Amino acid sequence: MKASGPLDVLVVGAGNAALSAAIAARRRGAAVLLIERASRDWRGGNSKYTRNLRCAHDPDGVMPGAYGEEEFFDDLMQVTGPETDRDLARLCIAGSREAPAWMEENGIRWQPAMRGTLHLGRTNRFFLGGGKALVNTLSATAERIGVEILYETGLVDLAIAGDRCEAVTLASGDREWAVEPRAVVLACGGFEANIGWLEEHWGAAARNYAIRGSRENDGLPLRRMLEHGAMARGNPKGFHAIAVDARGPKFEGGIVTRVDSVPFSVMVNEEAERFYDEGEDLWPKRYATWGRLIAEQPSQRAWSIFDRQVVDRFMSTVFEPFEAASIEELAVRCSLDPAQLGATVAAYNASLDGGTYDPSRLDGVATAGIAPPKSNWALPIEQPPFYAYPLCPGITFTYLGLGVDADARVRLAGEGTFQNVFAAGEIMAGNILRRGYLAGFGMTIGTVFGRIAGERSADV
Amino acid sequence: MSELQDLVDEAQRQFTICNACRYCEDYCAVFPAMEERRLFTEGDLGYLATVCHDCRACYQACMYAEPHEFAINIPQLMSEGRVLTYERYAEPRWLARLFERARGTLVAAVVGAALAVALVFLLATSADSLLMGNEGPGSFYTVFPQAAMLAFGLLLAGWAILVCVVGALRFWRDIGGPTGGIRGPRLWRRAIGEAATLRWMRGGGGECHFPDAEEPSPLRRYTHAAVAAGFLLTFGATVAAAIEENIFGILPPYPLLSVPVILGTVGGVMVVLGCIGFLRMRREAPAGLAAPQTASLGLAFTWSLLVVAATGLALLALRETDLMGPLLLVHLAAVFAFFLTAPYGHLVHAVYRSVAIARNVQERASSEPGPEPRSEVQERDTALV
Ligand SMILES: Cc1cc2nc3c(=O)[nH]c(=O)nc-3n(C[C@H](O)[C@H](O)[C@H](O)COP(=O)(O)OP(=O)(O)OC[C@H]3O[C@@H](n4cnc5c(N)ncnc54)[C@H](O)[C@@H]3O)c2cc1C
Ligand code: HEM
Ligand code: SF4
Ligand code: SF4
Repeated sequence: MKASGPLDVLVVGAGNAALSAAIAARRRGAAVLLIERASRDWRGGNSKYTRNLRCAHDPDGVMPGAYGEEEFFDDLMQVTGPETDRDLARLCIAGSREAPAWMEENGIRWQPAMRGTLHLGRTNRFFLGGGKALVNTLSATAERIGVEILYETGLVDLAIAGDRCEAVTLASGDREWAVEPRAVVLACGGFEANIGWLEEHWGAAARNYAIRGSRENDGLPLRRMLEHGAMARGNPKGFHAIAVDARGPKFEGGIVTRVDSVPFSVMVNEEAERFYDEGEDLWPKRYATWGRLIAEQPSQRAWSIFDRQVVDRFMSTVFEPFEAASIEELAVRCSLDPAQLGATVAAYNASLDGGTYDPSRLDGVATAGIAPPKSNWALPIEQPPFYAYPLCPGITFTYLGLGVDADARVRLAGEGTFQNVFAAGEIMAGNILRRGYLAGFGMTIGTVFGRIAGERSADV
Repeated sequence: MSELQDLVDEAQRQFTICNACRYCEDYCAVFPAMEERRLFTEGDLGYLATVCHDCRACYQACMYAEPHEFAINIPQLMSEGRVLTYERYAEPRWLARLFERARGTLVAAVVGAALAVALVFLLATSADSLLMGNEGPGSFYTVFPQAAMLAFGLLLAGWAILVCVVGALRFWRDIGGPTGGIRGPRLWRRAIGEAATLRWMRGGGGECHFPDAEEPSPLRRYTHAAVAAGFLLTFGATVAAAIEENIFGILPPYPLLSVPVILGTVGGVMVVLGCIGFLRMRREAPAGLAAPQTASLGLAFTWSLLVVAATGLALLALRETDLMGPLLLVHLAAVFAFFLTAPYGHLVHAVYRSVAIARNVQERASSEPGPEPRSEVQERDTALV
C-alpha cells in the first residue's frame, strides 16, 4: 500500500455507491482512499450486473417521456408501503433528477431509449454497455482525479469511541493494518452473499439459494456497525429473489440466469405438484414473487413445464430447457415422478375451459375446479416436444440496512448520529425500501446517497 | 471441418448468453443482428464476425468475461470467425494454404522478387539499363519493358479481383443475402457510409478499446482512414498514370506537379504513416483478445503495404539518381508480392466486411421500423432486475 499522506475519506466498496461517493469527496478536495475486497477483475459488486437506474425527468434527448417526482413517489409507495422513511424517499427522488447530468460529467453514457419501435421504457435510463461499463468508467474517472484505489483489501472492523470512528482495520491477504481517516463511507452492499447469516433466518434452506450478485457482499461492515450501536433499518429477514435456472452458478450468475417462462407454464415442485397460480398477474408484477415461492418449496426447487406452443414467447435463456417427446420422459429428465407429473398435467389440461388467449393482458383464460388455479393464459400443455426449466430462488439483495439521516450519516440506535461514519447504497437502502422493489431504484439510491455521503464526508 | 464445428458450437454457447443478457446491444450492429437469431450457423458466424469491427467495448463491458466461469470473449470469438471465413473463401485451396499466415507472405515476397528479376533478365532490352538513371520519358521502361509490366500487372490484379469477386458472391449467398443484392440508392449510401467511416468501430460512441483497453480513443479509426484513403489515392495515381499514358500518350516518369505524382505522393505518405501507426498499435495492444493467426495476417498485410508505399515514395524521391533501376525492381517486386498475396491475406477483410455491412444494412432495413420483439414479455421486462 502507498502510505500517501494524511487520509481524509476512506470509502469501503467499489460498486456504484462507493465510486459515486469517492468521486464526490475527491471533487470537494478530500484525499480519498477507496478499498475493494474483490480483485480488480471482480470489482464492482452487484453494480456490475445492473443495467439501468430510475430517475425523475422531463423529456430529453435520451428519454422521450416525462416521469415526475410525484409519480415516482407514488410508484415507490405502492411497492414498499407506508413504513418507509418518506423524507429520505423524497430526498432520493429529488436527487434522482440531477443524477444523470452528474453521471454524464463523470463519463457515463446512455443507451438511447428508442431503437426502432422498441422501447426501453419511460422511467429508467440504461447505461451503455450495462453496469460493468459503468463501474469501469467511474473507476477510471475516480483514478484520474486522484482517488487511490486498493483492490483485494477489505474492511474488517471499525474502532468506535462513542459516536466517532477513530480508526479502521483493513486486511489484505493475511496482512492487517489500521488507518485513521477523518471520515468513513460504508458503501459495501447488503449481506445476501453471507449464507450463514441467511441461515440464521431461513435455516438450511438458505444453502439452496443462488446468489445472483457478488460473492463479496457478506455484510461484515454492516454487522460490525450494528454491534457498535448503529440503528438497523429495513427488514432483517427480507430478501428480494426471483426464479433462476438451477443449473446456473451459485454466485455471480447475474442477469442471464433469470427465467421468464412462468406465466406460460405450469410450475411444479419436487413432488410434481402445482403450488401457486402461475397466471395471477402480469409477469412484471409477479416477477419477484416467484423467488420467494420457490424458496418455500421442498429442496427449494421447482420446474416450469410447457410445450412447443409457447417456447418462443419469452426472453431466451442461458441454458436450453430440458426437452422430451412426452411428459413422462420429461419427468425423468427432471428427476420427477413420471406418473405424478403426468397426472398433474392431465388434471391441469382437463380443467381448461377455453377462451381467447392474449399474452399482452389479463386474458381470463383460466382453469376451473383445480387448486391452485391458473387465472390467465392457461393454454393446454399438449403439443410435443415438451420442455422444462429447473428453477431455484436467486437472491438479488437483502432488505436490512443502517439507519441514516439526510446527510447519509449513520444513525445511532438511540438518539443522534455518528459524527464521521456515512453509508450509501444497498447498505442503507432499507431506510427507503423495506419490501418490494422498483426496477432501477437500487442504482438511484446508490448514486444519490453516494454523492451526498461523499460531499458530507469531505466536509468532516 | 471440425475446427469450424467447434467454433460454431462455441459461438452458439456465447451468443446464447449474450441473447439472454443484451447489455451490449447499442455498441454495434452485431448484437441486434444476434438477437434476430436463436440457432447459429456457420454463415451466421461469418456474418457477425465480419460486421464486428473489433472495438472491444463489449469485452470491457462484459461481467461474464474471464475469470467468470461463463468466459465470454466476443472479440476473440469474432476474430476466430474472421480467420476461418477468410480461409474458407480463398480459392484455390492449395494456393491459399501456401500463402496462409506470415510465412506465406515471405514466400510471396521472394517469389515476387524472383519474378521481377527473372522478367528483367528475360525481357530487359539490356541488363545495363538497370543501372541507368532517369533519362527522360520512357526511361522506366528501359529497365522494365512496358508490355511485360502491363501484362504482368493486369494478370496479377485480374487474378486477385477474380478470386475476391467469386468469394464475395459466395459469401453473400452463405450469409443469407437476397439474390437481387441490396436495392435502392438509400441502402447503398448507408452501406458505403458505414463501411467508409468504420461506424462499428466507434463502440456506440465510446470509441475503440484498441490498442489501449482502458483508454478508448478514435486513434485506430483515424489510422485506418489514413491507410485506406491513402491506398485509394495511390490506386487513383495508377489510374491517372494509365490515362495519361494510354490516352494522352505521355510516358512516365511524370513531373512533380502532375496528377499521378501528387496522388501517389500524398497517398503513399498516408499509407506509410498509417501502417507505421498500425504496427505500433499492435505492439501496445494486450494479447488474448484476438485469434493468434490475426497477428500474422495483420502484420504480413501491413508490412507488405508499407513496403509497397515506402519503395514507391523512395522511387519518386530518387528517380533522378542511379538508384532508380534497383529501386524500381524492388518496388515492382513488392507490388507483385502484394497482389499475389492479396486474395489470400488480410486485404480480403475489405471485401468480406463490405459484403457483411451491405447485408446488415439490408437486414436492418427489412425489419424496420424495428425488429418485432420475440415475446410480449420481452419488451416490458427489460426494466426488471
Ligand atoms: C443481477 C442483478 C441485476 C440488478 N440490476 C439492477 C438494475 O438494473 N438497476 C438497479 O437499480 N439495480 C439493480 N440491481 C440492484 C443493484 O445491484 C444494487 O442496488 C446496487 O448495485 C447497489 O450498489 P452498491 O454500490 O450499494 O453495492 P455493490 O455494487 O454491491 O457494491 C458493494 C461493494 O462492496 C465491496 N465489499 C463488500 N464487503 C466489503 C468489505 N468488507 N470491505 C471492502 N469492500 C467490501 C464489494 O466487493 C463491492 O464492490 C441488480 C442486482 C442484481 C444482483
Ligand atoms: C472497405 C471497407 C473496409 C473496412 C470495413 C475495414 C475495416 C477494418 C477493420 C474493422 C479493421 C480492424 C480489425 C481487423 O483487423 O480486421 C481493419 C484493419 C486494417 N485495415 Fe481495413 N477496412 C476496409 C478497407 C481497407 C482498405 C481498403 C485498406 C488498405 C488497403 C485497409 C487496411 C487495413 C489495415 C492495414 C488494417 C490493420 C491490420 C492489422 O494491423 O491487423 N482496410 N480494417
Ligand atoms: S458480451 Fe457480455 S455483457 Fe455483452 S451482451 Fe454478451 S454477455 Fe452481455
Ligand atoms: S464491434 Fe465492438 S462491441 Fe461489437 S462485437 Fe465487435 S468488439 Fe464487440
